[in-house]
Amino acid sequence: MSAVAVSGLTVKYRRPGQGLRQEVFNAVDDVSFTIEPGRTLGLAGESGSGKSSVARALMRVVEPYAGEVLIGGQEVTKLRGGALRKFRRHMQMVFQDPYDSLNPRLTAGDNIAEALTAAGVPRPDHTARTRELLDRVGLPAGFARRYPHQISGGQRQRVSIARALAVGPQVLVCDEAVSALDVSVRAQILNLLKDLQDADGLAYLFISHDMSTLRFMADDIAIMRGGRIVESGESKSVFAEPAHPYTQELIAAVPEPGAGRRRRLRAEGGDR
Amino acid sequence: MTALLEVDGLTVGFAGSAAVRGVSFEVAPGERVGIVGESGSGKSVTAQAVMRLLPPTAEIGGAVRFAGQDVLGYDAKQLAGWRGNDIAMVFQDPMSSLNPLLRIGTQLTEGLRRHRGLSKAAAHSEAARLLRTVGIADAERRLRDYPHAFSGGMRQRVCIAIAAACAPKMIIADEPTTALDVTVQAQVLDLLDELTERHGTATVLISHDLGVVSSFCDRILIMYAGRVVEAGPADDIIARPAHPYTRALLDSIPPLRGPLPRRLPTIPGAPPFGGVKGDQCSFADRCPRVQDRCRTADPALTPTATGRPAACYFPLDESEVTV
Repeated sequence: MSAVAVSGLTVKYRRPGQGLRQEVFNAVDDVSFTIEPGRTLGLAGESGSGKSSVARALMRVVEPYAGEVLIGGQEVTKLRGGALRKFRRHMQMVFQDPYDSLNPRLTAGDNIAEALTAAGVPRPDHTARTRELLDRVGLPAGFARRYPHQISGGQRQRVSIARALAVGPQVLVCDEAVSALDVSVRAQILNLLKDLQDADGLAYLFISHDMSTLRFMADDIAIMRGGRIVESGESKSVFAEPAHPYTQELIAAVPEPGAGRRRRLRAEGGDR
Repeated sequence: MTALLEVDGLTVGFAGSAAVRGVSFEVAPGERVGIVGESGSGKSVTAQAVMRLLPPTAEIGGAVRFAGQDVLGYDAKQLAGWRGNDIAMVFQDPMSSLNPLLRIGTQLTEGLRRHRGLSKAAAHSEAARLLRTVGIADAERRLRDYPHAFSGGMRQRVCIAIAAACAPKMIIADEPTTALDVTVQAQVLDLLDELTERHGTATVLISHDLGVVSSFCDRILIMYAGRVVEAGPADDIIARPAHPYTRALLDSIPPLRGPLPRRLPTIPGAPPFGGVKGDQCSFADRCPRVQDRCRTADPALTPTATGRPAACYFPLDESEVTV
């Protein structure tokens, strides 16, 4: 059974108003994909391509307009109330900026404990579980007492990952989870995500605009543009032989260290 | 060739904590120099010190000379005449560097009228011409638009148009493409290139992305913990890094072609943020090649076997270079 099976997902945003003022915008247009347990689907595309809207629709942060979403075999687009809260234990999200996504008035430990409460872990077990989670993401237990502003960006992202793992999810959605981090710290977090996947068989939906990060992380890849998937397939083959011109453009635009000035100037030669 | 910008032993401290600890470099007219570093490395503070944008509480030492003039000694009037006219800056976030309450046209003509003394009408048509050169269609009409009516990439082009308005001798661009998509990033770099070719504008490009910097610059400075740890021609640094930090930075970027490692090589720990001990190499705690000597004193920038200077007692030499 696939961890995630999405078919015909459509998300529309509506501009409020009457008559002609009302405008409907298709942010996601008939998108389908599956993710098997233990595998990573990389979702690539530029800003406005709809990749974050896909994530938000899966998490039911925005309501899908049409389509089916099966998480662990369960249809989730119609869930409400308690059933919706229960479902969110199966799927968690890690955001780009951990400074915005962690509660600044709670310590790292309390941020994680909130998720434990949501998962129904009895309060007396919180300290031990928090310690365990911090250890899994490579932070010493003492970090539980620190506030988000007292720790570095990479450490904050580790806390966000620990919080996401607290409810024991099967699916982790990483929306530009390493984009805001320094290069040296980014590599650490990518390795951590891979280790966690190997240990737990987590399925990842890994959203990024950075093609070289995606090549490293993703088993399969889907390229989005204007709300649609324009190319998808095994990461190896997409990178080896990109079929869609947009995919080729995305890969060619990545400035590779060492390629030098000449390559950039040649790669774009006369396409403006 | 005499240098356009000379930075000599620049130090910047904030409330006793050192952000920049003795940075020296020169930029020749028309040269493209990149400053690479992670957050906290002091690269932006260096740029702001050069532009005199730091708050009065910053403790600044050393010297900054622009075309032979002592920039640190400029008074308010001299600064106003210098900025925008001889030197201009492009920031990371075009939304916060443009004034959201003023039309693009007003912001573009401000410098033209002030520095070049153009009449209102002449400034207006010059502004439209500038907008066209940065690739914005229907320029006459768009001059009347406010910043929110432009996309991120277009706003950054407007910022570059403003910076280029008086054909300055130098543009300092601080992470100008970090907030942009990769395809737009390439266009913005092209635009900066054009300025260099057309007006001989020197460019200082500041970025955390070695890829971006090496695809644009002639020369690169690598900064770590407030100091330059390696400097030299862009292609050389990437092909044969001498400093272990440069090597590690390059290794931690996932490759776009060739075999993929199971795990990425990483640098343990995090870059220091202020409060650097001056009594040892600032990279010692994260360095794979650390030896006892590294903990005795901070190494100075000295020539290495690669022909480029690096601040390291045990730089990588030719034989150890593996790509």
